[in-house]
Amino acid sequence: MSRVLEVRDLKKRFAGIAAVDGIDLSAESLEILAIIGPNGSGKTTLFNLISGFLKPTAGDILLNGERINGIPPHRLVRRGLARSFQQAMSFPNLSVRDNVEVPIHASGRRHLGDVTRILELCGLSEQEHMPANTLPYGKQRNLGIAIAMATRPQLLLLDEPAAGLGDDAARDLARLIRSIREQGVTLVVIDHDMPFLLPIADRVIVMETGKKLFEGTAADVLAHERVIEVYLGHDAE
Amino acid sequence: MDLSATSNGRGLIGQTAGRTLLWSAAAAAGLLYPLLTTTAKGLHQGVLVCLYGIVVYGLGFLYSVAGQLSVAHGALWGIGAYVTALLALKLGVSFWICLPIAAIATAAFAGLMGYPSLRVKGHYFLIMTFAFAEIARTIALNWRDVTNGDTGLVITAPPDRLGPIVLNTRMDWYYFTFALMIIGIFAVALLKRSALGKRLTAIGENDLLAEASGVAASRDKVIAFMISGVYAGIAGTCWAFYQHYVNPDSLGSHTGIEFILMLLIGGNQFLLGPIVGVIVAIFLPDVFGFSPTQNEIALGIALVAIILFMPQGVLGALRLLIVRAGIVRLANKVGPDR
Repeated sequence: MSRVLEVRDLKKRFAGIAAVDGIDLSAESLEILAIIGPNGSGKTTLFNLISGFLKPTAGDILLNGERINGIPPHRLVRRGLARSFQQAMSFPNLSVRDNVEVPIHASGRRHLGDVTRILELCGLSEQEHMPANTLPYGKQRNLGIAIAMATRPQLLLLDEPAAGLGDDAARDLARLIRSIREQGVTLVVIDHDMPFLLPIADRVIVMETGKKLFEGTAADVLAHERVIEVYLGHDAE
Repeated sequence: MDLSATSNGRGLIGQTAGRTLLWSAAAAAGLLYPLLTTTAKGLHQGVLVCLYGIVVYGLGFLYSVAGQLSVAHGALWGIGAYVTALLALKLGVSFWICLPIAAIATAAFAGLMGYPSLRVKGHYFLIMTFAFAEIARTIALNWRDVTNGDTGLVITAPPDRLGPIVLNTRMDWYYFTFALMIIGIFAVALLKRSALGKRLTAIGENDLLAEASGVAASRDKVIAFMISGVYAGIAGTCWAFYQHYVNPDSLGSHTGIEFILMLLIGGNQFLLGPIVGVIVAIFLPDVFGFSPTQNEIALGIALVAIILFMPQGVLGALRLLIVRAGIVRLANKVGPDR
């Protein structure tokens, strides 16, 4: 297995406050790496750093062994790194199909054949002509993933993809994430929803106040006393 | 509203037919206007409608695809006019050569303005373009050795004949600028359908997601600003030769704000919106007998009223009236062009 993503001693400070404080992590090819942690633990900041929306204060980010610190997001997309956002994001007044075509127009590719396949993969075929802002919430979340998939990513970062979803929709999303992996994509997923995330994760990193608290398998995480205390509170015991 | 009328084939055909009819009527009215107007002033106003129309369509392109309004177009239009006047007066360059040179010059200036300005958004962008427009006016006013200060530059010679095209009379200028405006409108429509147009639309919709989708948002916005600047430059060139005169009053934030007013009054969601806005702004003083000062006040009040009560402009309000009157199918046929 080759290493797709490597983060070394990554730090980000905002006005003296460390949002990300010396994180080390790696994602191997075709792995699903889960990152969990309470609100304010620095998960989304970490994604913003990896995806080029923020510049690190210190540390290195490597994509396929190449340092990508400070490279703007649109250039990282061309190197195979895509992401979704914490909020369900779309181009609201465009149709679902037009939304998914945006990355294709951005890449200069003329072949739009991928779009139908991606819409099918993400369960959006029936809604392809609907304006994005008329989609139900769950479908809007899928659309964010579909747009990211249209960039033909090698590494996909999903920021709280199950936020606001019911149990059935979360199960469908878990299936979708596995299907994306089968398409040859490595995934790093942030979420609060442990019942959703842990069954699909190959490895789990737990963050607390910008630092890595623990790293291991889902079973290790559930057995780790300090993680349960930080993440679920004392009552969970 | 009967959305099905636009989501199936028959609806789309009906919509296309409705728009074709509307556009044909508008084009016919434009072609016949010089024959219907009886005064030199009326013809002059027709030329102004076409000249301002070119600028406002360029501005509308920037606004509709990238979501940015620019006051700097008051400067870009003036830069086109000054570049033309200087080339013609100092170097004896023909109008037909001035036209592409001024277009390139304004595109370059737009690029220079756009690069720093487009890194900010919304009100900040508007303020930066306001500053650029005022800087341009101040330079035109004070760089006397080149611009002749507030006296301005006078072009005495008319444009050379180019094949069958002669630009001597107001009628000549009307049809020439009308043709340029029509070409400009078609170019805007084609640009919106291009890959660049689609990327720009994505930026206007959600710039963060556009970046994450691989769109070089800053670069594309500068390109849109440059394209939009070309429209202003071409209109400025025509203005300089048509008026035979360029002075600092013809550029600056005041002019830029007037262009924005015209755009918003008509309703930028409609392809006919900019021209409707320009017509309202040009003919409003005559209809109500306003002096220039009263006209500016009236336009200001009109803008506030439009923002509050008609956010989609005059055409949007008309469409709403049609819908409320129950003529839904007709409303769909003349619906927004975005």
